[in-house]
Amino acid sequence: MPEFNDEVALSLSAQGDRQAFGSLYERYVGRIFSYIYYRTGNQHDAEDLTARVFYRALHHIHHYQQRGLPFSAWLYRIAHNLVANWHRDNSRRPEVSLDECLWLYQPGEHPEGMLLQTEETERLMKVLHKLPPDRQQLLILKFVEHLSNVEIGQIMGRTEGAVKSLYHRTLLALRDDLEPNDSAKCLGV
Amino acid sequence: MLDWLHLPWEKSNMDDLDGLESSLEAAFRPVEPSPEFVRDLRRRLVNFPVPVTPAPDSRVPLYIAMTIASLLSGVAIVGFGVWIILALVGKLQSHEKKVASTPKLAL
Repeated sequence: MPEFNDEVALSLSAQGDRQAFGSLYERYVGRIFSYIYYRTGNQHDAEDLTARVFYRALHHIHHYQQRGLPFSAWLYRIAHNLVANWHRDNSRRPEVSLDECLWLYQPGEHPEGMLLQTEETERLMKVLHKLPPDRQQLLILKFVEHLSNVEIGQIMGRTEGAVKSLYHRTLLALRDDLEPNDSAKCLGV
Repeated sequence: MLDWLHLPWEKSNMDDLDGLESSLEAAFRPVEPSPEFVRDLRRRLVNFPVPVTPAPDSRVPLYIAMTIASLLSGVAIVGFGVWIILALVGKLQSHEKKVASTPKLAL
């Protein structure tokens, strides 16, 4: 299977080369799935929306032009729009169940410690899912995808300074939303 | 991560937020799609024709039609009003002419 860099793969994909698009897909499918998973809270919908992201990208690859916006940022924007539609259509808040949290953990962890950690995580996730979508997006991009503020800004259409400011306000809101007891537990105090 | 905002009187505040960042770091574990899903989707993307998705139900034509209908209705109402006014003015003028042409009776 030939390996292309993004630029070449994009150019070939725009000319209808499906193998080149497959190469791009393999490079980004994990990141897009991960992002959507944390926005929807369940694996089934995450897989469905991930597929839609790549189908939409395939449909519109001819229209994609590199104007300082990386391909990954373009994919995240598609994913963000589809997740927003999904939330609107479902008219419900996502919930991450305990069972779903459990499968995220690595094998070999101590079961009791893992359960406590899972309860704390679930509590934190519940508060997190009450945040506005743009703040959830920011936290996922920062903590799951480990993107820089500049990269997050490219995806969200904001400046680096605006991302920093939003991040700080998001942390303050999260801290305020956590009950004092919950906060102490979550912070391990 | 919040080095850009280090004010001495906010030290405890910063400690709280650092702790919260650690919790978030622990909560957001990387997740992976199942290999079957990845393989199957790749096969569909590379080998199968792109499915034609129905275009989103656009309401733009409806809005354009409503705007044109509103404008036409407005024009019709204004035209009707002008026609009534002109008719009244014409009737009044003809009445005045009639009165003027009637020979006055000498008292």
